[in-house]
Amino acid sequence: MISARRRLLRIRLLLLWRPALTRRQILAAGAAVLLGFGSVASWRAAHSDMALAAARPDQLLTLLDSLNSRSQRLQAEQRQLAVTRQRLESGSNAAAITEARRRLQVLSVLAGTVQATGPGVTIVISDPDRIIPSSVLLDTVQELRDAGAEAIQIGKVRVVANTWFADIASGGVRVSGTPMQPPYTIAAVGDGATMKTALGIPGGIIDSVTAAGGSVRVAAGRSVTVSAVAPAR
Amino acid sequence: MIPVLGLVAGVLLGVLLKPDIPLWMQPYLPIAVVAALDAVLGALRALFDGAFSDRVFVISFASNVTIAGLLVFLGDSLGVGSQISTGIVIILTLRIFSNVAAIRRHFFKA
Repeated sequence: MISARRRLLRIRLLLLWRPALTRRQILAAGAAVLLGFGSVASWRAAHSDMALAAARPDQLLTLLDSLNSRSQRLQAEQRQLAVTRQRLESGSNAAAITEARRRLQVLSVLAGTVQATGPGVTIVISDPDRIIPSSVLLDTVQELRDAGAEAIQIGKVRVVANTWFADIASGGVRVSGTPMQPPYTIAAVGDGATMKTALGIPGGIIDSVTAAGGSVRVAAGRSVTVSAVAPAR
Repeated sequence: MIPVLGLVAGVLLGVLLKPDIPLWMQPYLPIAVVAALDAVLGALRALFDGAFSDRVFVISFASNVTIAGLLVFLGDSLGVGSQISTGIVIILTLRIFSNVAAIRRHFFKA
């Protein structure tokens, strides 16, 4: 039975493959020509600059919208840069020095070589069972950075670009080499409300810590100090 | 063999002639191609089922392409062109999958 089906299949394949000018072969060939030609033609249409001309109005609207907002952003940036340039050119050295100091301050905070004080959040992650892995702390830091944190410290360690996290086998976490035990205290300078919201999103940090049996306390404050500094390199 | 040669010839023709699709046709052509693909795979399936009929094939090929084009045109006139295109592509893709699955069953019995 099975071999009969196989034989039938083979015969059909053979009939399909054998070049014969039967009506069905010619029809199939005609359809194949149309299919191939159409495919190439629409591929070319989709990859030419005419694609915009054929786009639908709503697609064009979305495109236009994003271009507009982008151009607005760029214009704002251009204005700001023009103002800065004018100050630098016209003014005394004082303007240049002020500008340089300002940039130095911003970059130092980012690099973690100076203390930072300002509005922000203080976070205490308690973990009585000592089972929260270092990845949760890393996630917290990423979440805070995404929410606009300018300076972060965990315990007495300033978090900078090359800060690393590792688990300690007996419990606890090593942050850039410094062993820490829960509760972990994290201070972050930035927009407190945004950071608080970022930590509380469903499935976010607070949820995952709570699921592991720990708890998170987040307090937004007007003046949070990130006192730890990273060694200058 | 001849259909495969036909496909190659069609592709070559497209590459060599560099056809410029008229603007009014551009929303319809991709849909038509997908519809044609569905018809061809359906024919292949019918062939392996032993139910192939050239009359049915020609009619299904032409009607698939025409109906797809008409639907898109209708959608464009009503202002729901992109939604209808999406719907057509989804339906045709489903059919292509089921056709390919039927063909596959002939070869692997699975």
